[in-house]
Amino acid sequence: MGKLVRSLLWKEWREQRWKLAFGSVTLAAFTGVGLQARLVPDEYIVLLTSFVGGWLLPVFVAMGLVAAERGEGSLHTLLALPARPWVVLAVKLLVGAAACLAPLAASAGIACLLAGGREMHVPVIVARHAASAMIAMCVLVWTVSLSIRQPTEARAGLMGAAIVLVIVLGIPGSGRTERLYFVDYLNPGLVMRLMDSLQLGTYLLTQIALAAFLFWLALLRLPRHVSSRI
Amino acid sequence: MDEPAIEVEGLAKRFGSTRVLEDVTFKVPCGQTFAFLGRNGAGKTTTILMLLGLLRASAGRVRVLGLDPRRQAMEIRRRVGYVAEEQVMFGWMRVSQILSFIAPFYPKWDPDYAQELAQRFELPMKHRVNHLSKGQNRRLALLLALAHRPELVILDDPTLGLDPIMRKEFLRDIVEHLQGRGVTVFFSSHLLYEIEPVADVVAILDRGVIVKQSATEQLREEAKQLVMSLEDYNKVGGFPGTLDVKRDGNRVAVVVENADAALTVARAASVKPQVSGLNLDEIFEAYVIGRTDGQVGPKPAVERVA
Repeated sequence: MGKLVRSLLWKEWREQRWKLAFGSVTLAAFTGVGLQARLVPDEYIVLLTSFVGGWLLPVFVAMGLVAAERGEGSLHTLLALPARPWVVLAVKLLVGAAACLAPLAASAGIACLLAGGREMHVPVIVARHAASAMIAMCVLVWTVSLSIRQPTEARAGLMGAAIVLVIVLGIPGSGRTERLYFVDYLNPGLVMRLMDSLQLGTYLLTQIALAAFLFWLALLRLPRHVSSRI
Repeated sequence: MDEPAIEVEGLAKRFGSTRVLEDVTFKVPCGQTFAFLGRNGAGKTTTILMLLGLLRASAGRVRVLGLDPRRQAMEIRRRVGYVAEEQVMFGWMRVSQILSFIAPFYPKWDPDYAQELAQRFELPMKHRVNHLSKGQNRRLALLLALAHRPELVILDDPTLGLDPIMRKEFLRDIVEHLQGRGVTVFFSSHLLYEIEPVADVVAILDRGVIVKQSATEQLREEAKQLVMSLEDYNKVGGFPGTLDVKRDGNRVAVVVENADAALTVARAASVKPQVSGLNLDEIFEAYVIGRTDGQVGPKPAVERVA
């Protein structure tokens, strides 16, 4: 790994590590307490942690990746360095992905330890969390890409919330999974409905292509921070 | 002949329908300090961003150290030191951390020189960047721009927000660390008096257009103020290259671009105006806000002064 990438990774890690820690501790603690208390069926707890980890946490992480630096003004300093913008953005997304995945992994580990084989089998718990991880990656890329020109964290967060809402409302109903259209595969939330491996493959390919397009779009829009300055 | 450090030809930039730069042409010879002067909003920062490949030009040709910023922006940024206007750095980093963070970006980063500059600039290595004073912040930005021993340093209004003493200290640092080593300096500013002692060449940018480019000494020698009575002024009937005309009672002060040419015209009309030299500040003022109709502010126009 180049020294330059290591340096960027160090910076992003230092900026995101508390979010990662906060997410991991909160989600793991919630899962642990929820499953131990047994006030509701285990599935509800897993569903709730999956929702928080898959849909809300990535918005929270994405807010701090580009918009926070733009708001502070340090993004200009970063982009004026001799580093290719795609490297800067890729490192940001990589660290952002770690900050989203670590809490889900912690939650999955706790759930498997405390409730594996009790009401839900371990593979089911893992599959639920894997689906959430997939959604989290998509929400992260969507939010970073589409909110890349937002001047503040709050506005980026608002945009992220709107993206989540659009995705959730666009998930095809359970009765429609037999007949899926191309537009359905564009929705990251479809993974919650997919059982067939062929459909899952199409879904993954579509999502990877879409993420690549959004990354390219983000790169085009990333340096625009200077356009308003004369 | 050496290739110029910066060569700009017919540069233009538009943001939608807003024209920011139009047909900007200039050359910065190697080893010289080039003052790029203009009021706020004149297009200085836009020009700099295009020099560094951070912004695409709408038209024109740019070469920085012989490289094209469109295709070789990374190479340019590796070889150029850049201090941005009100540069915001990563506030949570300590001074020592920001040095370690920036170093890998530059193959020619000199850690010993960085340490030496940090000592000379009296930068507390353990302090966080957001705990530094404005002056220390600017010095840190200068350190980061210099520690990789760049061939060209681009300073975009680097003293903005500093008090007069800090400005002087900052300029002294520049003279000491750059001019002494023959580094080319592209210094953008709207504060003329600060740039006057250090600039070899001056270009004045006004509303996106270069209105004057000349060696500082030559500019001072050529641009003069001629003071005469209103009667004499009317007798001459106007001077070639008039930049500014001011009237105070019966006296008229005319700032001309070329004093020799203006004096020839005055002699032909048997008028002997009083000639006085101008500092760069006054010359700049004449070029960008000078009015040749003799009206200054709300004052009424002089009868025949036009």
